[in-house]
Amino acid sequence: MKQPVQQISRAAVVWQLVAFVAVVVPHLIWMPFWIPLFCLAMIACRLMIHSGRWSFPHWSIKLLLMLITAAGLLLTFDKQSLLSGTVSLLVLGLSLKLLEIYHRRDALVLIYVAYFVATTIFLFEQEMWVALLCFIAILLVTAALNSVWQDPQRIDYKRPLVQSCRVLFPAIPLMLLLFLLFPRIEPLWSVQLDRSAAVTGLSDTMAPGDISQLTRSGAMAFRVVFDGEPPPPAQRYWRAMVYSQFDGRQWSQASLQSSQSAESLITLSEPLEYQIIQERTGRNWMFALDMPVSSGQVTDGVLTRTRTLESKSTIESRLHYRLQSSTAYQLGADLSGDERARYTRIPASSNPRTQALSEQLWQDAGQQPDRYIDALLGLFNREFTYTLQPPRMEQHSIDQFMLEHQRGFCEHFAGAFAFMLRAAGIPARVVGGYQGGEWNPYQGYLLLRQYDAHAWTEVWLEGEGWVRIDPTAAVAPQRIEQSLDSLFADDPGFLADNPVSALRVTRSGVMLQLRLYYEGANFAWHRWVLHYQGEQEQLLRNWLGELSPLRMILALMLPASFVLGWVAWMQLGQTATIRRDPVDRALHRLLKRLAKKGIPRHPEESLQAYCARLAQERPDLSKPLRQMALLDEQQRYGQNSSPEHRRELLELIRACHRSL
Amino acid sequence: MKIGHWTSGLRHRIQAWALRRSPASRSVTLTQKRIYILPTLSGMMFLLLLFLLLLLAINYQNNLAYAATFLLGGMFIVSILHTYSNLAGLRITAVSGHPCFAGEMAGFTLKLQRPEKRVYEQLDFSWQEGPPLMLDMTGDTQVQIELACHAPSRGWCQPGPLRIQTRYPFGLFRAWTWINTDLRALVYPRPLPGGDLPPVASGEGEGLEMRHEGSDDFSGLTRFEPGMSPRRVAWKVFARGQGMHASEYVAHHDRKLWLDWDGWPALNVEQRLSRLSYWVVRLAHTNQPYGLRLPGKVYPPATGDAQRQRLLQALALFRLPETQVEAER
Repeated sequence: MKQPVQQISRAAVVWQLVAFVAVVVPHLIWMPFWIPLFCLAMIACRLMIHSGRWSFPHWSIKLLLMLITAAGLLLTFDKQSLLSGTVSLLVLGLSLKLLEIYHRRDALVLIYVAYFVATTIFLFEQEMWVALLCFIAILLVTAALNSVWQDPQRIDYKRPLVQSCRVLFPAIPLMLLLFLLFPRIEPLWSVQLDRSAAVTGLSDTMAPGDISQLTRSGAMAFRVVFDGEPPPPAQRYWRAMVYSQFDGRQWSQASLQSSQSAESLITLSEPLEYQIIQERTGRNWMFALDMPVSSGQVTDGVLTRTRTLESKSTIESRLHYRLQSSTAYQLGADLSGDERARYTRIPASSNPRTQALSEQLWQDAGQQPDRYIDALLGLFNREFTYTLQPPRMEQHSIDQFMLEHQRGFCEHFAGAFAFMLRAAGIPARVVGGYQGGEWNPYQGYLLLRQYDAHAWTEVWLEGEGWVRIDPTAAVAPQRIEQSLDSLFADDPGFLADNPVSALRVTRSGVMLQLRLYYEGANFAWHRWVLHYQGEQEQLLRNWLGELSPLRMILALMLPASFVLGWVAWMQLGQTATIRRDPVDRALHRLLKRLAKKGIPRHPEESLQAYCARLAQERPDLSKPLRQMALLDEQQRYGQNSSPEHRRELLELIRACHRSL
Repeated sequence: MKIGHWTSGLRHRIQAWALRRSPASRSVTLTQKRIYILPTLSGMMFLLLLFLLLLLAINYQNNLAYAATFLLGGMFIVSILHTYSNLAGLRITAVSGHPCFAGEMAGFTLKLQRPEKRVYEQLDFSWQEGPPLMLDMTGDTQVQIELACHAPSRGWCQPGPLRIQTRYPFGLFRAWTWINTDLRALVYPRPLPGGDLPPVASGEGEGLEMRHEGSDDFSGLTRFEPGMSPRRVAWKVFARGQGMHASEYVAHHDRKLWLDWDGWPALNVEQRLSRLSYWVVRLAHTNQPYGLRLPGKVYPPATGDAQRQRLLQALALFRLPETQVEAER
């Protein structure tokens, strides 16, 4: 059957506008500014039409607007940003559609596309507040959907929202069930997320001042969950990369030697098992606690020669991986000639004064590596200052650091220490990564921020292999034992990039607890919701035991039918039964009785015809039956519907019933 | 074309099956036994949307997109119950059918009752042959509606099963039911103007309509029926909101007119009935007693609405098959 074209109510038009705004608002976080402006203009136009000041636009105006948006899209987005381009196209299309909603069908197109656009926000941002905004958007779009199906003459702005809540809130338990149980399958075809701006973090090279720059940022680098107890703070060295080349000013990584196997490792303690949840870096390296035993269950992860982890592809979204590390170990007992040469190489002409100083100290130490190292650390401890804002150092930066300023951050100490070891012919290298971390007691994980970035040194000693020595610990032991936060809380350079960061005001007391609680919730969100595919199997096994299709279906159907039963009860349960008309009731009983006696009434048979037929079969009843049919007819056609007549009819029906 | 034929055949078969399950009765409360529910076209489009969202979630391995998809899926399921409950519990009582002339719409009065705590919106009532009626039941717990049905020919108009359907609240599903009401309305022959009054009445029937109107005594009110003169409507009563009534007058004269079947030999049966129908309506506007002679039946002259109804009914059911006339007895 063809439906007539349906106009929608004025309230419904307003609801379309509300739904549109609700859907676009979360997208403001990434959209080029002109798109929201264009949308606002379209909303204004629609309001002018709505209030009767303008009429619906001519097709030429619509065409013009379409050309404008097409040109804008082509100028704004390139091939790299296919995703944001597509979503922008949908949003602009919706805004143009606003101008021509008049019939139900237009509104339905708008609403269904709006549902889709509301969901696409998750391809750009997945934090809790975004999920909340998206839920609100879906709630309002659903209200708009209801308003479209309302009586076009009725203007009720509130009722659609009520209806929307009544359908969506019972849908939440169903959503949770499906979310928990629906099998997560591999992508059907490969898709690409848009690459966004670079993020702060470690870099491939380390020059003086690089790491102290990172203390300006409180951004999250990664989080760690340990299967057992976390290691003590002094052992929380997170290895990211090894800088083995020095060019006189900056340290850099050696070119990747993927063909070579990792340096040999003898573990001296039970390995710790842990999971790392790494934020997007846009780079390849991953993080591991000193010293990773193997690359573990890391898809795409490779253990390099220097026992750092590298991903084969750049890390463009949050990455979860499990690792094993041993905190007591012996690394690289043998050193080849090539390697010894590489790890002792320094440019001959660089930092001559430091080279001379090294020579002198080496001689003083009787050419004993142990005593030489102690002498260097003692020197740092006595004469040097650990500071967030070291003076700028230009040419021969190590000379300037060692002999003039004697103030620096961890990269200065690590760099100078490794340089002086190499100057004395001892193999040494700088390791870059993070140190420490903030323990969250609510969710039991360690959070490392950019300002936890750190650099330290590894020295190769005969019979011991590569030994970690952190010169910063000699200057500022609190940095290692506690955190940078406690050391530099009031330093103007600390967290300079986050002037209004919550970290500033939440150092202790209730505020600290609140912040930890919030971050804990965020962590649980990232782990259990955003990365549910990583936890699903284990979780379901814990709940359901062995996973069979039957159990999965039962686990879905039982709670779902409970929910739906509850909704049905809420909807229908309070039905107060309508009191039936006594005549109807008596007639119904009589007909049932007759049907039992084998003379049922045919579906299309009128009561009159039925009574006539009955009278033939039961001549004894023919008179009351005919009378009854007549009275019924009269009542029905409005001639005699007085109470007396009704009573009479009732009596007749009962009489027939009795004489059966 | 063929498919359309096939689907309409199927629809009729389903309808017949549904009606067999629920025999005719005057009063029906809608329950799961009679309510059928299926997704609409826009419900199908919604499923397509869900499918696209699921693809998005799978390909981007995006758990929040999964969640949004499942939320909308849950909504789809829950809306079945909402649509169903927008019919369930409603009680429909067939009240009466109102006579009309062939070619017009016959009106049928239905009484709707809702339980105290339930509301119904956008209910769509229709007979198979007739315009649908959209209705919200949010106010009074009991309302009467008048539902029209095309009445193409004289005799009893049986409107067939009553269809009640709704797509509220989200248009994703259509819940519907068919009810056999066994209501019927008498359809009078379509009045065919023209001709003169039969010769027996000549000399007395001139300008009858106007002459006696003011001089007769008002004797009471009667229900307004189609075909009555609008001049007889008791407008004051109507303005008080008590419905359309017509004033009745008692005539003080005894001029008698006979309408005769043989008066128009040139016309065929149906045309003759139509012509007689026209004259009955015309004479009913006057206070002139009039009678009717049909082959094998004579209705003595009288005035008033009872006479008018009797004669029109006789014309309506004239020579119709036995089953149709039955109720006349």
